[in-house]
Amino acid sequence: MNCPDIKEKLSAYLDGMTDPAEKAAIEQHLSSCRQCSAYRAELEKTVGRLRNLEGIEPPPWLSQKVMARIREEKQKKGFIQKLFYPLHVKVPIHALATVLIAVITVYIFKAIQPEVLQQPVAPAEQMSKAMPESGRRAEIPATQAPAPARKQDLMAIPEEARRKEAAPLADYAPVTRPAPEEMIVPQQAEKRALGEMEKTGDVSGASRLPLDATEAGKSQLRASAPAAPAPLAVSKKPAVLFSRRYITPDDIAKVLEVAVATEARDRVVLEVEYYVSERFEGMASMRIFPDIPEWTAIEIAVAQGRRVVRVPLELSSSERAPVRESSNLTIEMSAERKNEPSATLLRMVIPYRKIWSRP
Amino acid sequence: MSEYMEDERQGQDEDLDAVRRCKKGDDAAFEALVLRHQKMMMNIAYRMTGNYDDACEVVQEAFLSAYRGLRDFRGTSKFSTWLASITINLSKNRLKQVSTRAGREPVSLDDPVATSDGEVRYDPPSSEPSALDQLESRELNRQIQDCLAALDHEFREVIVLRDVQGYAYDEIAVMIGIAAGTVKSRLFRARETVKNCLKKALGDRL
Repeated sequence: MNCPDIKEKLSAYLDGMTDPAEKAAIEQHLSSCRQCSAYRAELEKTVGRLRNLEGIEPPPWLSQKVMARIREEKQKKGFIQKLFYPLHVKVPIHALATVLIAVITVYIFKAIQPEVLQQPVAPAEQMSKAMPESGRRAEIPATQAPAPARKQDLMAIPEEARRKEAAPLADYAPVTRPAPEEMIVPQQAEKRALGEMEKTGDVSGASRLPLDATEAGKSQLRASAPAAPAPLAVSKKPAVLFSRRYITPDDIAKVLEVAVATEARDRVVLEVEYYVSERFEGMASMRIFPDIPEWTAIEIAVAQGRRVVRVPLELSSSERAPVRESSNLTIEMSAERKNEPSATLLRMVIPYRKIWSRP
Repeated sequence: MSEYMEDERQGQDEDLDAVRRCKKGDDAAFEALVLRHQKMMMNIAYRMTGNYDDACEVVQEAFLSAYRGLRDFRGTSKFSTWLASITINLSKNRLKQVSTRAGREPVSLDDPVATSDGEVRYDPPSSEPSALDQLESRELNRQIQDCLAALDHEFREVIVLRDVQGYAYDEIAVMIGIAAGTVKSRLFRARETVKNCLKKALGDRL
């Protein structure tokens, strides 16, 4: 190694940062080269001066000022942190808020829902009460005529009608009529307004069919009989349109109105508004039989939906047999599905006087 | 030279303990760290910037920066080394700012300094033995400082960290982010330049 190489390595040599071979070569060179030895001495002195430089003392306020600035920053940070919480705090808060909003929304919705549904649902619920249930028969007041009386009445039905109706009528044995109050003369030529219908179970005087419960409903029906067909009130819409939750088997069929359309001495045409659910599959039929021996019962097929049918009732014989106030009108809707026995969807017994009575 | 290094080694465990407490929000622990390391940082900053005011500013910034970045300190290096590297980087930043600043107002050590606690006068060390020695020492210090200031930043930082602060080659390499071989060559250039500078200024008194 020549002198420039040695000089370059002397810096590291002074720090003991040369490998043994270099160190030996440097030391050998230094022992023979005065110039490099002098250089080494100067370098050592320079490094020594630097190492022995007087330490600079920081001002006494420095640490205080540092801490003051740190506290200042911490306060600022604390304020900013309130605005910008870290994610591990923010996420649970947001999640909780979301859940809370969802719960409140559901709660509010549930609180409002009954109000929304009440109007359309009410008829459905009430109508369902009008439908026959085995339990309802037991509720029939004791004041009503006993079953045997009814059976005797049926004996008076003409033979062909009786054959036709025998099977279903057997089911009606428990259904009874209210005690007679007054006689109604059926020979009124003019159209009659409807009275209120009552269900069998409600004959005792409890509740009335909702559709007839209001005066508005009555006046509509009165108008409908002679001329214009009755416009259907919105409130009469079946509940199925609103909520599946409220659909029960009883909602499959309903009789909404019964009115006398035409009345003669030997012929009465009833206008029956009914409803058969669109969901119902199969054939449905309606049977109407007046509780007057001389009058024939009739069965007609009914279609799905909400419709009005005209049902003629005729005297089975030429003999005079006025409609008696004590007589009831029984309306039964039944369904037949494939391979299934006929099922009674509903049965209503309406006191005649309610249909014939004058306004 | 190595008085800071020795302090640092002794205080290394204390440093780590204080750092742990700082992370839990103990400001007193950080104050202890400030008191322990401010002189080392002040020396690095002063030798790098050559200006007492700038050095004070750099040290404050370095401590704030360390406080903010405390979470990132994993203890893979010594805490003091970490502080030193922050100080050296901020010193270089300060030098860049100073060089771009056109006319710098000279600041006298005798001028009062405005702080948040009011005006405080500098209190430079006053442990001078005699007037003559004091004068000589001051002159020598000034000469050395001038020679250091004449160096480019990348040479200055190496010689300050090695010869003034006594850090090992590999420590310096990590702090500055250069290879150990580069430390060696830069140190040689820096030493030779300072040697020539001092020889020129002091002559035989070197």
